[in-house]
Amino acid sequence: MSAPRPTRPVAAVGVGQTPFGPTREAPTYVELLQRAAAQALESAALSIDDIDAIVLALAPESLMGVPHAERWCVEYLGAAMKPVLRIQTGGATGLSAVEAGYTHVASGLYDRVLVVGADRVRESGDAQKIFNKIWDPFYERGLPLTTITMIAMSAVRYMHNFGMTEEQMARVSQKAHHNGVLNPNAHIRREVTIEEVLESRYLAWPLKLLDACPQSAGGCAVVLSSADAVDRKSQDPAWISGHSMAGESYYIGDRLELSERGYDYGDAEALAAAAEHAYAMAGITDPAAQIDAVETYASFSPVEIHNAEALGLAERGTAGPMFEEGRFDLDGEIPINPSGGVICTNPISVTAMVRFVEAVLQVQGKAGPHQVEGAKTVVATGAGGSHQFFNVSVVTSEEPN
Amino acid sequence: MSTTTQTEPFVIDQHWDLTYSHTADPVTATFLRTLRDEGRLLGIRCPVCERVLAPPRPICDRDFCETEGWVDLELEGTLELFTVMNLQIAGLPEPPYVLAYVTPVGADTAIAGFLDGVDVTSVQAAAGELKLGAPVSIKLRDERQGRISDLYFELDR
Repeated sequence: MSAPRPTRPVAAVGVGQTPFGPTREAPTYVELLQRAAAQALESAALSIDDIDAIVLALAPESLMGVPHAERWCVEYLGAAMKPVLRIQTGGATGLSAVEAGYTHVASGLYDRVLVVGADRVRESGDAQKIFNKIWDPFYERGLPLTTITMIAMSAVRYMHNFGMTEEQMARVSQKAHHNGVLNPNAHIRREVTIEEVLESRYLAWPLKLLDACPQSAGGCAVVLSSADAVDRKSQDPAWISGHSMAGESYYIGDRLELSERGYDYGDAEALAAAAEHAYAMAGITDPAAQIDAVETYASFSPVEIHNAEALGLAERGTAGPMFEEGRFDLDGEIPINPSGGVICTNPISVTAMVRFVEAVLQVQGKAGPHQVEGAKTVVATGAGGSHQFFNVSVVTSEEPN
Repeated sequence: MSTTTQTEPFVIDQHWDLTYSHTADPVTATFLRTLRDEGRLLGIRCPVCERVLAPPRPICDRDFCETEGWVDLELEGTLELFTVMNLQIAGLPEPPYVLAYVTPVGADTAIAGFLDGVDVTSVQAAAGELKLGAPVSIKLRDERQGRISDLYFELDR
């Protein structure tokens, strides 16, 4: 296959996030959507009348309990008499929705697109029961496959291949919590020590409670614009210099033989594939040297470790010790998840969009207390399905050539 | 009369109770019937990549072709993945227990199932007992339902 080629540059000119937190106290689904959208429009100095098309990010809807919920949202999104698409790729949804907006604009079809979503993950107390239902009814459902066990087994494989330790995982979680304290929008905002992580109860070995993401409610939105439509007096564009997405087989049992790339289920191979394409678009040939920070979708601490390798920031099997050395801390060489990441905030439909929004804020220098000084090139990633769908956005302060 | 907006959450509880009838394709149906009625474990070959798929599927998702040629698999295999589950999930067994993927001898892909016979009193100690690559036996339950959970695994000691 050939690498994706955009026909014209696309910028993010507005972003919005509601504060993320527990579901019970949060506004309703449609209120979260409109509040995030209003914030993104305000930061873009635009009104809903300036928007040509809307993309709604909505992951498995059984979490918040309204099937076909795009029906409910049309007028709340300002989408009456406008094109509206719903996007769903599980955890990757938020960045897949940005991708749909990006292709809307890059193709020349529309000049300004609003990408927006929300979630209320703990509307049902049965999230993992719902996630057991994402497995096929013939061969895998009925077994205790869930988003937790699937990641636990990937971590076991990676431990076996490369010697990752529970202490390394705990160090990732300690860093995430430390950064989350600095992020006013994060759901979980408290420091944890490595010892506390190690002493927290096992969910599914080697994953412990403090290695895991919470279940969050909140909304997120982005306004994307063609270069021609950017108003440089009122807007501060952040550019999508590269973007790609890759999926891999549904069947975990088919991902145990080494692939041509030399990966197996212990790795995030499709993330590596998506990064290769996105980096080629963005002219990134030496990721560790050219990328200033990363916001990566890691719902559990060990995922962040293999993601760092798939993104080319570390050699295969070497990222665990690099986290322990602090090289991915907020004051390290390449900060990973300066916002606190998914371990502090997981509103599933928009979790991957938050990664993108945080990347935009970083290159604009507007991230606040968790700003990475001088960030010009920041990578955002999403992950969904049975650790299966991955997307990568390269966000830059400079307009791509 | 004046009205003040109340801020205490006003909660409406709902319960979903849905029934589905999933019809298996003929290959999956043959696998599950043979497992239930004859206690045999079948794989099927892809004529293009020549992988023996276990559990068997009617088409190879990699090669866009129909699979053909049943293969009898041995009730022995290799431990590829595991976790010691310690979290209760509604509708699933009471933890702790071991979930694993095992590649049967003669197959190129792995099957998911419970790994029984490990002392799970301590999650950490149980995990210490398990090594990827270990040989395992594939066992069949006495009362079989025509479900993938008719089979389970045990470590060879």
